[in-house]
Amino acid sequence: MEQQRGDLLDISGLRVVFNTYAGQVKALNGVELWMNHGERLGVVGETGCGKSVTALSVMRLIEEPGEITSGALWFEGRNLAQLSENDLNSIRGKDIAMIFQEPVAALNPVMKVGAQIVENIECQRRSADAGQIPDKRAFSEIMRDMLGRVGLDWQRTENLYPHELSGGMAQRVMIAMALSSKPKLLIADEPTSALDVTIQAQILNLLNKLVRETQTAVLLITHAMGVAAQFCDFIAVMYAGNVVEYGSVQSIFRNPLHPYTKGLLNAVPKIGGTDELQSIPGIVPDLIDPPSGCRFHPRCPYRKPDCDTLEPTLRAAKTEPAADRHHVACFLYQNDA
Amino acid sequence: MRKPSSDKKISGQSAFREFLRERKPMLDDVRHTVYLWKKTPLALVGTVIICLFLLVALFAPLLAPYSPIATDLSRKLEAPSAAHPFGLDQFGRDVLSRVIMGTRIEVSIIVIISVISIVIGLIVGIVAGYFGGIIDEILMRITDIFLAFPRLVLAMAFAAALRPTLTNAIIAISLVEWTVYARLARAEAMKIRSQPYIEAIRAVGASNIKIMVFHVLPMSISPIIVQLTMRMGTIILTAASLGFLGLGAQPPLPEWGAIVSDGRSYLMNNWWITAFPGMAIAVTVLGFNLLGDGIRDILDPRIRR
Amino acid sequence: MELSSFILKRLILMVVVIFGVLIIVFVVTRIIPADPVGAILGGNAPPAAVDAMRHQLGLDKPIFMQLLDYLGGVLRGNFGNSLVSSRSVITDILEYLPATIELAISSIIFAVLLGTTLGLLSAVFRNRFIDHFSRIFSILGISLPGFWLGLILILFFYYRLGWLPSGGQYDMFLSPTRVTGLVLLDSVITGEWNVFFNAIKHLILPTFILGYSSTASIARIMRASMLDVLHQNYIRTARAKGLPKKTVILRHALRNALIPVVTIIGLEFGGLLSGAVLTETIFSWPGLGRYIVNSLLTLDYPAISGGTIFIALIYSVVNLVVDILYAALDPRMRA
Repeated sequence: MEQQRGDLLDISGLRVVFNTYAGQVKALNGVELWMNHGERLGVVGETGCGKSVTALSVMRLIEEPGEITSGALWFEGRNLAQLSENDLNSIRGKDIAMIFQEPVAALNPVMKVGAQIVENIECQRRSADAGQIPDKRAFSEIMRDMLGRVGLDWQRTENLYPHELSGGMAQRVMIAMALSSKPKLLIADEPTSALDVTIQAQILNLLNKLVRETQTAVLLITHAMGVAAQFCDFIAVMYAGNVVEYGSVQSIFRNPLHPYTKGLLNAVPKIGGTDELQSIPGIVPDLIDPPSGCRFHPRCPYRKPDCDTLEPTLRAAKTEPAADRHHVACFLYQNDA
Repeated sequence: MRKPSSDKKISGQSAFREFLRERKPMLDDVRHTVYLWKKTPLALVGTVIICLFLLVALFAPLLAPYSPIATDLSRKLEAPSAAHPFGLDQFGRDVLSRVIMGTRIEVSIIVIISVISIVIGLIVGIVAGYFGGIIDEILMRITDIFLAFPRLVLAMAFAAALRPTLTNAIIAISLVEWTVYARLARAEAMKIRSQPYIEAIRAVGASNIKIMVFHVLPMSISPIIVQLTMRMGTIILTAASLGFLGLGAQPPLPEWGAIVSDGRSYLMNNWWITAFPGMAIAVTVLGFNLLGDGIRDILDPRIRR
Repeated sequence: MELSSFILKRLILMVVVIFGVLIIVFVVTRIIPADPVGAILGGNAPPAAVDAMRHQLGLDKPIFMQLLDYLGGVLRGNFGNSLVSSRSVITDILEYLPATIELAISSIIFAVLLGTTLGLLSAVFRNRFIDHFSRIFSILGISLPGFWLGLILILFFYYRLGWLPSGGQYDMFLSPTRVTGLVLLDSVITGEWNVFFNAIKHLILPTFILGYSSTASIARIMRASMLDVLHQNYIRTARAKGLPKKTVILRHALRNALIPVVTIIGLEFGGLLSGAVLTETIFSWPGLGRYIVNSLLTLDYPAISGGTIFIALIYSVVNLVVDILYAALDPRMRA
C-alpha cells in the first residue's frame, strides 16, 4: 500500500468506462486526487471532462452501463472500491454525504420534504445505535433544527412536496439533509449550476457558513473557475478523464503550468479589457476513441514529439513550495519524456 | 464539341447526387432504423413470422394438400397422421388445409379493417383537431360514446345487429377501431394547425380542405401506421373471438376462430380440431406483437442514438 | 384545479356520454333486420296474432314514440321484458350480475398481484432469468387467444387429469343458499364450507384465463415504469443517503412506479368485461357476459339493450373512479 497523500480521501488510478450501444466510453483514465480533513477541493473542467463521474465514483454510485474498472478509493484508510454494499451503506449518507445539481429532481416527488430528511436521520441513527429503539420525535426535532439552519421556516416547509419548492429552497433542503449527519466529507456536484445567479451566491454563502461550523471537508464539482476560486482551498483541473493539474488556489491562478489550465484562465474575460476572447482551438475529444498518449495533445500549442504516444502522469512540479501541493501531468515539466 | 453531351451527363449525375444530398438526413434516419431493427432480435423474429404468414396466405391454394371444404363422412374425426398432420374434423375435412386457407381470410380481415378504420379515424380526427371548437367537442363526444363500451362487447353488438357474417363482423370491428386513430389524428392536427406556416399558406388563399389533405394528412400518417402495427394483434384476436362466438364468419368458411368453436364439442377425444387453428392464431398474433414491441423500442428516443 | 370540481366535471361528462349510449343502443337494436315477432311466434302465425304481438311490444308506434317510451323506461329502470325468459330484463341482469362480479374481482386481484410482482422483479433483476421468464409470460399473455387457452386448459385439467372442473360456479348437486349472489361470499356467510371449497375449485381456471392478459399488460407497464423510475435522480439521492437497496426499491421507486400502473388497471377492467364474455361462454359461467352472448344470438333485443347499457354504465363508472384515483395518488396532479 503506497503512502497516502491525503488523510481523508485519496483517489488513485481511477478508471471508469461506460459500455454503450455506440461503443465503450472511456470516461475516466486514471484520475488522481486527494484531500485532508476539513479541506475544500474544487474539481473544475469543461462539460464531459469526467468531474461528475469522479464525484459519483467516490461513493460507488456509478450504475450500468458504467463500471469502475480499476483504481483505489481510499477514505480514512479504507478502500471504498473493495467494500461490500452493506459496508458502503454505513458510510453513505453518514460519513460522506452528497448534494446534486438539479435539487427538485433529486427529491422524491411523492414524499413530503420533511419526511425525506427524517428518513436520512433515521437511517444514520439506526446504524450508529444498533438495537436501540428509535425515537421518532427526536428525529423530527433534528430535522426542524436543520431546516432552520439552512434558512427555511420548518413549519411551512416540512409538509411541502418537492414540486412546490423553488430551486433555491430545494437545494437548501438537500443541504439540510446532507449535513444532518455531520459528515466528514460533503460532495457537491455542481450544486448551483441550475440556479439563478443571485441564489447561487446565497447557497454558496450558506454552505460556507455551515461547513465551517462542522469542519466538514468539501469536494466541490463545478465548471465555474470563479466559484472554485472563492470557495475552495485547492483545485484539481480535469480534462477528458484525467486530472491534469492540482494545487492550491493561489498557486494555480498565479502560476498555471498545464497548457490547458493556461488556456482556461485566458478564456475568462477580463473586466475593462477589450481584447478578443481567447478560446482553446479544437474541440473536446470523443471518449469512445480518445486521442493516443496525452489526451490534450491535438489541441496543445506546446506539443512535443512523444506527447501522442506516452500518457503523462500527475507529478509534483519541482518549482513550487510544498505547501502549495502543485502537481501537473505534462511532459513539459517532466524530464523523462 | 464533346462538351454538351458530357455536360448533360454530368449535370444529370450531379442532379441525382443533389437529390440524395438533400434527402441525406432522412436516408441516414432510415439507415439507422434498419440498423436498430437488425439489432433487436424480437423484432426480427416477429418480422419472420409475419412474412411466413403472408407467404402462406399468398400461396395458400398451392400449399393446402386437400380442399378445405370437401367432406368425407366415412373418415370423420381421424387423428393426426402423416397424411393429415392436423387430423380430420367432424365432417372429414382436412384441418391443415382449412388452417392454411384460413390465412387468406385473416389477411383480408386485417386489410379491410385497417383501411376502413383508418379512413374513418383520419376524417374524424383531422376535422376535429383542425377546426377545433364546437365541431371538435361534438366529434369528441361521439368518440367518447363509442369508447364507453368495452371494445369486444360493442363489436359483438354491431355484428349481431347487422346479422352475423364475416363481412359484417369486419364492419363491426372497424366501427370500434376507428376511435384509436381518430384520437391520434386529432392530436397531430392540433399540433399542426397552430404552426406559423399554416397561417402563411392560408393567407395566400389555400382552402381548409387543401390544408387538411396536403399538410395535416401526411404528418398524421406515420404515428397511425405505427399504432396500427401495434394493434394488429388485438384486431386478429377480436375477429377470431367474434368467429368463435358465432357472430362472425359462418360455416363452412375456415376462419380460425370459427374452427376452434367447431372443435369445442369434440374437445375430449378429438382435440386437434380446436388445438391447431388456435395455435395458428397464437403464432400470428405473437408475430405482430413482437414486431410491435420491436418498433416501439426502436422509436424510443432514449434507445435511439 | 380542485379535486371536487374535477370530479364534478367528469360526472357531467359521463352523463352526457351515457345519454349518447342510450341513443346508440336504441338505434342499433331497432335496425336488427330480423323480426323479433317472427322469432317469438314462429313463421306461420296468423296475421292477427302477429299484429297483436306487435302492438303488445309497442312496435307499431312511430319510431319517435318508441324512442320516448324507451328513454322513459330506462330512466325508471325498466328495460322491458326479455323475449327469452319473459322476465323483466332488470331481474335477469340482477340474477346474473353477481357471478360476473365475482369472476371479475377475483381476476383483477389475481392480475394486479401477479402482474405488479412480476413487473417489479423483472425491472430490478433486469436481464436475469426472472426477467426473461416474465417477458415471455407477458407476451404470450397478450398473444394467446383466451378462448383457445381456456379450452386447452380444460382439456388438460379436466379431461386428462381430472383435477379441476370444466365449468359452472359450483357442482350441480350442491344448492348453496343465496344471499348476495356471490357464491364465495355467501358460503362464508352461511358457513357452508363444502360449497366454499367447491366454488374455489371452479374459480381457478376462469380466473386464470380471464386475468392472464391483464396480468401481462400490468407486468409490462410495471416493468417499463420501474425501469424509468430507477433511472431518476431521486433514486440516486436515496442511494447516496445510504438506504438499503430494499428500502430504495420499495419505498422510493415502487410508489412512483405504481402511478401509471393504476391507470392501466382501469383500462384492464374494461378489457375484463369484454373477456368475461368469452370466459363465461367457455366455462358456462352464469354471468352477464354469457347472458349478453345468448341475447345477441337469439336477438332478444330488450335484453341486448339492457345488458349493453348496463355494461357501458359499469365501464364508465370504473373509468371515472380510476381517473379520480390517479389525480388523488399523484400530488403533482392536484396542482
